[in-house]
Amino acid sequence: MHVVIESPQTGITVVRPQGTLDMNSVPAFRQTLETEVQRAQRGLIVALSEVAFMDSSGVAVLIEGLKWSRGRTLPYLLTQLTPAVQMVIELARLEHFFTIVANVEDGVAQITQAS
Amino acid sequence: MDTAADCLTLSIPSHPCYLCVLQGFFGSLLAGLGFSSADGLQVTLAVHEACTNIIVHSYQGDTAQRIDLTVLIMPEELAVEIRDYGSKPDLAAIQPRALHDVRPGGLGTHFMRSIMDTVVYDVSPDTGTLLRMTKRRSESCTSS
Repeated sequence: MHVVIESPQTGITVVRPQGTLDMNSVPAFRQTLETEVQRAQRGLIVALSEVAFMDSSGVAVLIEGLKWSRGRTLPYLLTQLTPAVQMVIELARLEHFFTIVANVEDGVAQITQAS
Repeated sequence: MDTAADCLTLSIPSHPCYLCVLQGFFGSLLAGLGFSSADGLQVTLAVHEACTNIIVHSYQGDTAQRIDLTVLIMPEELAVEIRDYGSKPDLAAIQPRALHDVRPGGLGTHFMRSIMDTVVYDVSPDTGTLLRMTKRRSESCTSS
């Protein structure tokens, strides 16, 4: 698991995991996500376009990320869901629990409007 | 492909780093059998969740054990049998959590039961458990 961190605007962080989000990779990703939630100042976007497979432990860490963000009243958005990620979120019936935007630019605009 | 009673076996160590093998194995197999990419992803997820539960619960994180998978390809359905040699599960405790209770954990069993047509735990072996899951094959699958 490799995670790319981007900052398209000051205070906005994009976290971009690559590969598989499962029991094997989630501990490292969880640590990265928690660090970035604490570090982000205006909002955090998790871009999932390069996640080829995700299981229940992957969706669990996305839930944790949202809860950490709510603790900081920090906007937390998901974007660019692959079919594998979309499937798991729908199976868990979480498509309305998360805020999902079409792309990073929409996410940045939404965070900018809110801040 | 003549699919009557074909049988494939796969054995993986109980280390999470080997779960990725399931994606390649089942992805290729199910595509070859004519499953749609969505159905193939779902069945792969169900098997992945079952093996994850075995590592966590049956083997309690012991990565030096073994998980044996047998895939039976029948004209009307696909059966996946997953054998472990660890602690037997408390069948009464294997329950998916309520989905409105949004929190990490407890979704794997829900996924398995949502995706597969049957999920049956056999705890009769002297050691461990045999989990058998089946998935009906659609008409497009059975013509492959």
